[in-house]
Amino acid sequence: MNLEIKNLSKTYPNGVQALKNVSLSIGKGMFGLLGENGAGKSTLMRIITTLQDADTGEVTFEGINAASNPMEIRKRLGYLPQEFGVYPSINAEEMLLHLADLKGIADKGERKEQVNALLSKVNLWNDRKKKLCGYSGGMKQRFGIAQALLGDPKLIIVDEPTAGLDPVERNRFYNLLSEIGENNVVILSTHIVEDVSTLCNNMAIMANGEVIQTGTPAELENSLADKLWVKEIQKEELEELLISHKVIANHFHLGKLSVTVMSDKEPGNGFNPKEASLEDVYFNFLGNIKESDLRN
Amino acid sequence: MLGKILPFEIKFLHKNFFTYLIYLAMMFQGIWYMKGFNDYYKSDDSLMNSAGTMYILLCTIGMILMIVFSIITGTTLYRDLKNKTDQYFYTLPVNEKKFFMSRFTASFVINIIFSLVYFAGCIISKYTGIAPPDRFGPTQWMQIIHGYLLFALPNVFILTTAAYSALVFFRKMAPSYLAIFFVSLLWIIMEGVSHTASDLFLIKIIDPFGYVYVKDLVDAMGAMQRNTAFLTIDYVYFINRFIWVGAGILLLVISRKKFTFKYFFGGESKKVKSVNNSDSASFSFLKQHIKIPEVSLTYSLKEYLKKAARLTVLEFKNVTRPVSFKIIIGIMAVMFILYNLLFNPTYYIGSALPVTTNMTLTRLQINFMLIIIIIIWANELFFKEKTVDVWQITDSVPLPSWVTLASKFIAMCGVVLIFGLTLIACGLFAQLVQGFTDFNCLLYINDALGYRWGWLTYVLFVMFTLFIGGLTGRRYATTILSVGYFIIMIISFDLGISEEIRFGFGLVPGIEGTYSELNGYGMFDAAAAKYFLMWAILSVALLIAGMGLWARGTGKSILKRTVSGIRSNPAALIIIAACIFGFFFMQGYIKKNVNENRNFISEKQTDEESALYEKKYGHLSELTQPKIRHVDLEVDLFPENRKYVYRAVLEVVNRSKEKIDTLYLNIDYRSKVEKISINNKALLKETDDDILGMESYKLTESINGFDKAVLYIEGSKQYTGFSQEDFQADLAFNGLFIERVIPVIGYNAGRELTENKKRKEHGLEKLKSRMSSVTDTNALRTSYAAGDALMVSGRTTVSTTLSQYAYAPGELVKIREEDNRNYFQYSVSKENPFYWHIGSGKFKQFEKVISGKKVKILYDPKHYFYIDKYITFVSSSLEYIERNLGPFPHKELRIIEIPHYQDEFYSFANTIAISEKEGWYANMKEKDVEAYVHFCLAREMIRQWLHSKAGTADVQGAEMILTAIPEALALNHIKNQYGKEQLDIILTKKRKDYIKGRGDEPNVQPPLLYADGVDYLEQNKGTLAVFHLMQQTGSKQFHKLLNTWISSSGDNYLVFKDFYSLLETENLLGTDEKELFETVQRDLKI
Ligand SMILES: Nc1ncnc2c1ncn2[C@@H]1O[C@H](COP(=O)(O)OP(=O)(O)OP(=O)(O)O)[C@@H](O)[C@H]1O
Ligand SMILES: [Mg+2]
Repeated sequence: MNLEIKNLSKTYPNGVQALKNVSLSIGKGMFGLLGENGAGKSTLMRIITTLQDADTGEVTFEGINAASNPMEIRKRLGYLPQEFGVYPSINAEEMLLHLADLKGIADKGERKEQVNALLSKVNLWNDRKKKLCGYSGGMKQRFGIAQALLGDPKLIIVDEPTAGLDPVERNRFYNLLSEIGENNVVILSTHIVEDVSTLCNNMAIMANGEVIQTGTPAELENSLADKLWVKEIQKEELEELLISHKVIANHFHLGKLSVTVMSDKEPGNGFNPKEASLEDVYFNFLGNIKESDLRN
Repeated sequence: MLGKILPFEIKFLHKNFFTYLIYLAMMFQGIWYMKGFNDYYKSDDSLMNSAGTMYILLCTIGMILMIVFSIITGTTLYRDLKNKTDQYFYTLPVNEKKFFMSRFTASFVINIIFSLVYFAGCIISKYTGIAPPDRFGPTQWMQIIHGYLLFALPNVFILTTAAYSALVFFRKMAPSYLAIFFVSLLWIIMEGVSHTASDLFLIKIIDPFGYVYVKDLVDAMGAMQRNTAFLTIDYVYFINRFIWVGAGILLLVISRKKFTFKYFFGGESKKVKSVNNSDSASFSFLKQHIKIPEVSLTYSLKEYLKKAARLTVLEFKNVTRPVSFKIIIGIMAVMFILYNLLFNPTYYIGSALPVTTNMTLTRLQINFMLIIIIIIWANELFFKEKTVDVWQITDSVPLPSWVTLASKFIAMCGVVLIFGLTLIACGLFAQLVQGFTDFNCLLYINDALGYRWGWLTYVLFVMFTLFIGGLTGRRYATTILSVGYFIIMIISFDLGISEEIRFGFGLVPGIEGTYSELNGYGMFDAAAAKYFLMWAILSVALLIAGMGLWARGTGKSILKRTVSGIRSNPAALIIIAACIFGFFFMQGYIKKNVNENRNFISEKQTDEESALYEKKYGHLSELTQPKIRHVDLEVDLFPENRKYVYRAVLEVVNRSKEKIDTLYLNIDYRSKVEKISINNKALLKETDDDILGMESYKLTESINGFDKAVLYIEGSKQYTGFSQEDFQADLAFNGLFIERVIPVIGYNAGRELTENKKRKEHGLEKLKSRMSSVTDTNALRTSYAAGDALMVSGRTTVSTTLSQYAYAPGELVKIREEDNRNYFQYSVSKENPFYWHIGSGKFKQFEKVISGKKVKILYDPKHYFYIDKYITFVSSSLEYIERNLGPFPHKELRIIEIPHYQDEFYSFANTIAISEKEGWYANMKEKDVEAYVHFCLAREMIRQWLHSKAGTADVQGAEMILTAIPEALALNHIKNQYGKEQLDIILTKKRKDYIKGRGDEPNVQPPLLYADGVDYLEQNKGTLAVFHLMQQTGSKQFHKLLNTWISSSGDNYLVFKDFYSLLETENLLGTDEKELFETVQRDLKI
C-alpha cells in the first residue's frame, strides 16, 4: 500500500505555479504535510483526490494511476476538503447516509451501522438530527471528518482537519486518526506543528509549491541537534541580533522577547542551548527559503 | 451613504466581464427588436424608427433585459449573504435603512443604465444595415425621452422593487427572480389576451408595463402620424401607473421597514428536532472504544441502477418538498385557472364555452416564461453540489457521473411533469366550475404532456440544459447560454426572423393556432411526430454527451474532459455518433418533405413568386380567355389520402371579337391535368411552369369571337409529405373545404402583391388602388366572384368516403352509396356568381322545415350546444328578408361547420359555411354573443339573397355591396330583434376595429366610394356608413331603393357607385353623408 507522487507540477491559469516538480513516496501510516499559506498543500491534495489535473507528473496509489483511472482511486479514497459546504436543509445523519450510499455501501443496514459508529466517533451522535446549517464551525468540521471515513477508505486525505476544533475534540480526533492510520495511508495537511509531531510517522515540508524537506519528525529534529540556542532579550536588541545571527524564531514570553538562533558553534553572549523541536525545524526551513528568495 | 455605495457598486459591476457581455446583449436586443418591428406596420410610409415604434419598445423592456434584471437586481443586497460578508456588515456602524435604500438605489441606477444601453441599441440600429436607410427617419429624441419617462423609467422601477422586496421577504435569490418573472408573465398574458379581448380597459390596467395601452394607441395612428407623433395620454395611463408605481412604492416602503441587518443577515436558527435522550444514552457507550464496522462496497451496474432510482426519488423530493416549490405551483395554478376562466375563451365581444381546446391554450401564453424557469431550475439541480460547495466531497466518491446526473435528470422530468399535470388539473377545474363536462381527455394529454410545448418539450429542454452544463462546466455560463439560446430562438420565430421550424431546438409544427375541433391537428400530427423524433434523437445525444463531459473537480478543460470521456466510454461515442447521424438524417428527411416538396414556402419566397408571377404573366390580363357559363362537375374526394380527382365539363364563351387559340390554366405544384379538350378536340400542352403554376395549351381549333365551346378537363390534386405551417385545408382529413376545384383560366390577378411596400421591394409599380376603377370597362364586365366566369349554373356530383358527408353548391338532388363511397348530387338551376366551393366532413345533421324551406345544419358532433338557436336565427332572418327584400331565393339551405383554416364565412348557392370558431361554441348564454352570432347568420342569408339577384362587378366598392350592405341590413334586423343596446355593442366594436385597422393600412386608405377590398374598411366603416344611411333614409325606403337598384341592373354586374348615385338623385345624401362616403375623415363621426 503505497502512494507515489512523481514530478508533479501545476500552474493555475492566473500564472501561479502552485506545484513545482513535487515527488513523494508515502507508505502506510500518518503522513504530515506542513507548509505555510499558499504553499500548495491543498492543490497537491486535490490532485491526489482526482479533483484536479496536474500539468505534468503522476500520482499512483497501489499502482493505480489517479489521472487515467480516477474511479479506482475514488473507491479507495476518503477526503476531507479544507473548505466545504453542506446541504443546508438536511441533518447530519441523512447527509452521511446519502454519502455512504454514493460511496458504494449498497447495504442499507451496513450504511446505518457505519454512519452511527462514525457519528459517535466524532461526537455528533447527539446532534445527528440537527440541520447542518445550524452546525457550528467545529461541528461541521467533525461532520467532515466522519464523512471522509465512510466506506473504509485506504487512502485518507484530510486538509487541515483540526482547524476549528477545540482541544478536547482535537484530542478525540488524534485518537481516531491514529487508529485508522495503522492500516491505511493517511495524509494530513496542517499549519499546526504539534499535529504532525504527535501524529505522524512521516512528514514533508512544503513551501512555494516545492517539497523542501521530507523525513520522520525525529529525523528532522535531529538535523538541528546541538545547533539551536536561545536567549531572552529586550525588544530593542532584536534589530542588531538579526544582523549578527541567524534568527530562526522569536516570540514574546512574559514581556520579554525570546529569540532562537542557529549556529554550529556556541554563540556565547548569554545564549543557552535548546533542544530542537519540529517547530524550529519548520521555521528554519522557511527562513532558508525566504533568504534564498531575497537573494534572488 | 449613497455617495459611497453607488460608485462602489458601479465600479464593482464593471469589474465583471459579464457586464460587458450584457451591454453587448442589450445593444443586440435593441437592434434585433427594431428589425423585428420592420414588418410590423405594413405601410411603406411607416418608418422603422417611428416615434410610435419607439413608444412601444420603451414599454417592453425586452426579454433579454428582463432576464438580466432578474439575475442582477437582487445581487447588490444578496451578495453579502452569499459571500458571507454579512458578518461584518452586521457590525458596521451604519444606518440600516439608509444602507438598504442606498443599495436599492444602486440597483435601480444599474438597471437604468442597462435599459439605456438597450434603447441606445434601438437608436443606433439605423446605422447597422438591418434595413435600407430609407426605412429610417430622423431619431425622434423628444418622443423617446417622453416615452422613457412615461414608461421605461417607471417600469424599471416596478421591476426593481418587485425583485428587491421579494429578496427581503424571503431572504433568498430565487423569489427575486420569480418576482420579475411573474411581473413579466402578467405582461405577456395581457399582451396575449389583448389580441382577442373585446374590452381592453381591464387588460390595460392589469398590464404592469402599460404596453397594451400604448400599443392600442399607436396601432390606431396612421402611418404618417405614427412616425412623429407625441403620445397623448389619458386617464387610463394614470390609473395604470397609479396602481403599478404605487404597488412598487408600497413594496419598497414595506421592505425598507422590514429590512434590518439582524433580520436579513441573521439567519435565525429554526427549531431543532429534539433528540431522544434515551437514544443517546443507549449509544453513549459507543463513544469510547467503538470500532468502526467494516462495510462491503459494491460497484456493479445493477447497484448503480438501483442507486440511480434511489437518488431520483431523493432529488425529486428535494425539489418538490420545499414550500417555495408549492408556492410556485400554487401561483401557476391560480394563473392557469384565472386565465382559463377569464381570458381564454373569448369570442368577438363575449365569451366562448370552455371547450378543452381553449383550456390547453393557456400553456402557450405561459410556456415562454415557464421554460426559462425550467432551464434555470434544472441547472440549479445539476449544479447543486457546486452551489452549496460540497462538490469536493461528492465529486471524489466512486460513483460514475451518469448515476447522479441521470437521477437528477429523471427527477427533473418528474418535476416538469407536475407542471403539465397542473395545467390539466386547472383546465378541468375551470371547465367544471363553469358546469362544462365535455372534457377532451386525449387533447389534454396530447397538449399538456406531449411535444407541442407540453411535458415532452420541457424534457427536451432539460436535456439541452444538461448538455450545455456538461460543455461549460459552470452554472452561470450554462444558465446564460441555455436561456439566451431559448429566448433568441423564440423571439426570432416570433418576429419572423427565422421561419424554418426545423432549426429551432425542440420546436414542432402546429403548436399554435392549428388545432381544429373538426380536424384535430390534422396533417400536423404526422409532421410534429417527425420533428419530435428528430429532437428526441438529438437530445439523447446531448444527454449522453452532457453526462460524458460533465466536469468533476475543478479546472478541467473541455478538451481533456472530451478525451477522457471518450476513453472511458467508447460505446457512448458510438451512440452519440449514431444519434447525430440520425438527427441529420431526419433534418434531411424533413427538408425533403417540407421544403423540397413545396409544402412550406417562406414568406419571402412566396412574395418573390407572386412578384414573379405578375412580371411574367401580367401581360395575359389583356388576353381574351374563355369564360365559364355552365358547369358539370364530378369530384371524388379521398380525404384520408389528401387527394381529389375531378372531371369537369364546362360550357365557356368567348365574349370578345378576337379569337382564342391558347388557353392558360393556373395549375399549382400539386395539381395535375390529366386530360383536356375543347369541343372534343384534345389540347396540346405548350408550356408548363411548375413553380409559378401556369400551363398553356394550344387549341387545335380556335374559339372564334363570341363563340361558345365545351371545355373538358380531367385532373387531380394530392398533397404528399407534410408541412410545417400550411394547413392544406382543401384536403383536410375531416372538414375539407375546397374553394375551387377547377383551375383558374387566364391570368389570376388575385395572386398579385397588394402591399406597396412589398411591391416596391420587388420592383413592381405601386398601386393607386387595389381594385379597378369604376370607369374600367373591362373590369365592369368582370365578375368579382371569379374573373374567368360569368353567372353560372350547373351540376355537381361529389363523392367521399363512407364516413363523411359531402356538399357542393345548389340543391341536393340525390344521395347514393356505391363502392363503399357516398355520392351526392347537387344542382344549381338559377345562375349564381361562381362560388363553386366543395367540402366534406364527418357531420351530425339537424334538419327542419321553416316556412317551407328545408334547413339542414351539418355540424361537428361535439358542438351540439346551440343548434336550436341557429334554427331560430334562420327563421327570424328569413322572415326579415321575405318581409323587406322579397322571397328567399332557395327552397333549401345548408349551414355547415368548417375548420378555422380559411375564411370565417362562405356564402354560396344554398349553402353557408361557417368556421368552427364563429359561434358554434360561443357562449350564447350571453345576450351580446347571441346577438352577434345572429347578426352573422342574418348577414350570410342576406348574401344568399343578393347572390341570387345579381353578380357584382370587379371594381371598387364590390365589398360595399357584398359586405357593407348585407351587414347594415343585418344590423337593422338585430336592432329590431334585440334592441339598441345590443346594436350599440356591435357598432362600438366596429368603430374600434376600424380605427385600429386603418392605422395599419399598408397603402392609402380610400374613401368608401372607392373602397378596394381591405379587411378593416368595408366591414367596419362601410357597414357603419351604410347603416347610418339606412337610419337616415328609413329602413323601408332603403330596402325599396336597394331592390330598385338591383332590379334595374339587368344583366350587368352591380356597381356600388350606381347605388350611391341613386341615393343622390333621391336627395338622400346630406353634406355629412357625402363626406362620409367621398372622403377619408380623420374622425369617424358616426
Ligand atoms: N483556483 C485557483 N486559481 C488560481 N490560483 C490558485 C487557485 N487555488 C490556489 N491557487 C494558488 O495556488 C497556490 C497554492 O494554493 P493552495 O491552496 O494549494 O495552498 P495551501 O498550501 O493549501 O494554502 P493554505 O494553507 O492557505 O490552505 C496559492 O498561491 C494560491 O493562490
Ligand atoms: Mg489549503
